[in-house]
Amino acid sequence: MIALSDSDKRLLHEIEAPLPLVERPYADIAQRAGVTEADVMEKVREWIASGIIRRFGARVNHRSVGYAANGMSVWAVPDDQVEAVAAVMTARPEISHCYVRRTFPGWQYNLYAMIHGTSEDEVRRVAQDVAQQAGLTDYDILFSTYEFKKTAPTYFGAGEVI
Amino acid sequence: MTLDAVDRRLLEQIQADFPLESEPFRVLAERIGTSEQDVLERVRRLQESGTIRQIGPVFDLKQLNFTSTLCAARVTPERVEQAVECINSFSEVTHNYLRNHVFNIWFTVIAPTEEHIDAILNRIRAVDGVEQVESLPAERMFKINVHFATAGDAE
Repeated sequence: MIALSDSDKRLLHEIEAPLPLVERPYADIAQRAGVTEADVMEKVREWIASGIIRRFGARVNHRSVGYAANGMSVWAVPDDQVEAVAAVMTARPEISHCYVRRTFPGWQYNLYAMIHGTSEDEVRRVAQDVAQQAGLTDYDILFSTYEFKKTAPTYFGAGEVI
Repeated sequence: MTLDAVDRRLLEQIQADFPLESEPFRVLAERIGTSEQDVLERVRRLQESGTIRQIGPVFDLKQLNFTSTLCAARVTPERVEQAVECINSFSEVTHNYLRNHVFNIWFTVIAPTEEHIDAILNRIRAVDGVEQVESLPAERMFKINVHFATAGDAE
């Protein structure tokens, strides 16, 4: 955890709002945060270097760029095989995220992988491939049938705008 | 919405490497071979149509001392609407999906503390028709593919 000054937090509050779509967006942000344009760019670079900011850029809606189907695949994997199965999954370009989570009564799945494809069938085929390669049979794919909400988290109290 | 080749090149550029320079849209225009005004118009259009959700920083929530979780909820189908209304009312809930399973509502929560998350989940559990809510924070993460990465992707 990196210490942030009050002026840093004021600047972060402005930076986490959507970037103004004007010729000099950082000058716009600077004016609102009470710093210079150069300060804004330097601070963002600094925060990228220190890891507070993982990436600075656009968040894209994958459905509109051709990935019509997204399936959350969930897998029951013996603990001692998690590494090996995850290696199979992370090698697939169609898989974006891979997480281990706890099980609970009635839910035996401990490994989660988000699979993206142009159709649900394509997502199913990727899962079948992974199952075969990893020697697993107990899995399920939960397709999202409706998106109720998708927003950016707010850390510094900026209004949510998406 | 249909995307032309210039849109696609632009999307590729602005996802991974948005210029931290005084006139970023001019830099993008030079990279993809068009004018600054054309880039600005395209970005505005892509944002209005929802293809671009937002341009800005993706924070590492752990570095900011925030905590996050994925929740699986089992909600009586006839009561989904009320449950979603409650779930979505929290700004700490960033994603919320209906999924084809007995656990039919899946949402993510990002907050400064676990207690804060628990308080939200207890409010949701109190809604009529919400049978069960399980919080499933990631215990290990193996991959975040940058071209798919979106807000809240470290949950």
